Amino acid sequence: LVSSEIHRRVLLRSAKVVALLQLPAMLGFAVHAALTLRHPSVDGGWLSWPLAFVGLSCIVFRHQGAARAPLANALNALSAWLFCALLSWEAAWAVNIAVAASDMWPGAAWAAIPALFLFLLPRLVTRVTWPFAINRDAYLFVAGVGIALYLGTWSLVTNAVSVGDTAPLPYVPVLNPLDLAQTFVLLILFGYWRFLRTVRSAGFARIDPRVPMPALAVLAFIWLNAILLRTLHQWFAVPFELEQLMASTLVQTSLSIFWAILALVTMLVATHKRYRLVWLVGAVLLAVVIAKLFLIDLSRTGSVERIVSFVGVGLLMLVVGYFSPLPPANETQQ
Amino acid sequence: MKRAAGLMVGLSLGSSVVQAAPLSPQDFAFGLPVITNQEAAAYRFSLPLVGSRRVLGGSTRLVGKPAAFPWMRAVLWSVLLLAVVLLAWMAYRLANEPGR
Repeated sequence: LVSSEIHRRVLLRSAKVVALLQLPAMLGFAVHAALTLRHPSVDGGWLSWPLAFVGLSCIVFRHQGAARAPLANALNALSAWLFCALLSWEAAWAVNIAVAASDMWPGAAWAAIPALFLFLLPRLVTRVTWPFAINRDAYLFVAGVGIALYLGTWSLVTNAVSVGDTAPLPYVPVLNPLDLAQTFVLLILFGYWRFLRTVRSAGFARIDPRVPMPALAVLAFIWLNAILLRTLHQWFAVPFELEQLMASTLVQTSLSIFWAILALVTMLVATHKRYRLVWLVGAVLLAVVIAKLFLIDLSRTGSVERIVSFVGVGLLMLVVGYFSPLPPANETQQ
Repeated sequence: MKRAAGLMVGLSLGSSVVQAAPLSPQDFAFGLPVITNQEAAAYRFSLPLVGSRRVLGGSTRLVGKPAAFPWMRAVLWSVLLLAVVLLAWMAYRLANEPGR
């Protein structure tokens, strides 16, 4: 702040550079804190971090230059990411102290804060002039997209490693902190993408509009499968290791029927909404299920599981054929 | 048990109602340091003084404590249910938002 004031009074350029080094310094302290401290508010962090952010805001306000400039984008986006990271870390630590029984609760907190920020971001850039509306592109297309990518990564990682330990509560599919956080993240990402499509900006041109929705669909598909696998692990004691999961006849039968149900629901919704491409995705999933039945289930499962797989999938295909015809091509929207 | 100037002073706890078993001091020697007869002669054994009967806990000690209300679990379930309501509201709003 002193350097900033010197720069303002005597127009000393190097003083401005020194002032702008506050953000890298804060990033360095954050990395050091991550390596040495249990949470950011310890050792006087509860006072120093808010003061540092206030000081940073003053410096950004004075020196960021023109909006959309690289310096303005970097300052605003990096400070938003740092703020979210520190807040998430503190929240996860507090949740871990309150519910020390499992790592699912703090894991959900790591997503809740960034998702909440992404939820608020469209409102902030339309209602709060500084720093959000003035630096709209920096917040929406740099900070926001970065946080969206983080949330997507969080979703993938937690689905891959979390076994569904919801202690002290019993495991209930969907009604547990991880699955609710996953739902929150997917809804937030969907809503954010819908908002971005309304923004006419140069930043939007840098995003390929064909990517976000399929990426969201893949995230949702992986999450739904993870729910199924976690449930089989928790309720039927199937080990949560990829090799053992794939070797389990119960898992293979459940996956076949579950994928067939997903394909059915996808095709029914697509028929109702007249989304031809979505219907075709459901049809491809159904084809994958049939291929899986003959290539995997038929050769590996016992008689009862095989019968259940074939009868269940066959019945679902009958339902699809009866209720869900292919939408006409001229009404393709998605 | 405390030793003071060649005298062992001990405090015994027990019941004043239950009859004493026919035991001699030697019956208690198992597990204790072996002492010679000369040392034993130095000790004076006397009958313990029986005080008045005092009921400390009584029959209430035999009744199990009622389980404490699981506040933590209740709070966590409440948080989850509140999250479900909020997510349902979010999904409803997204579904009914005019097409952007």
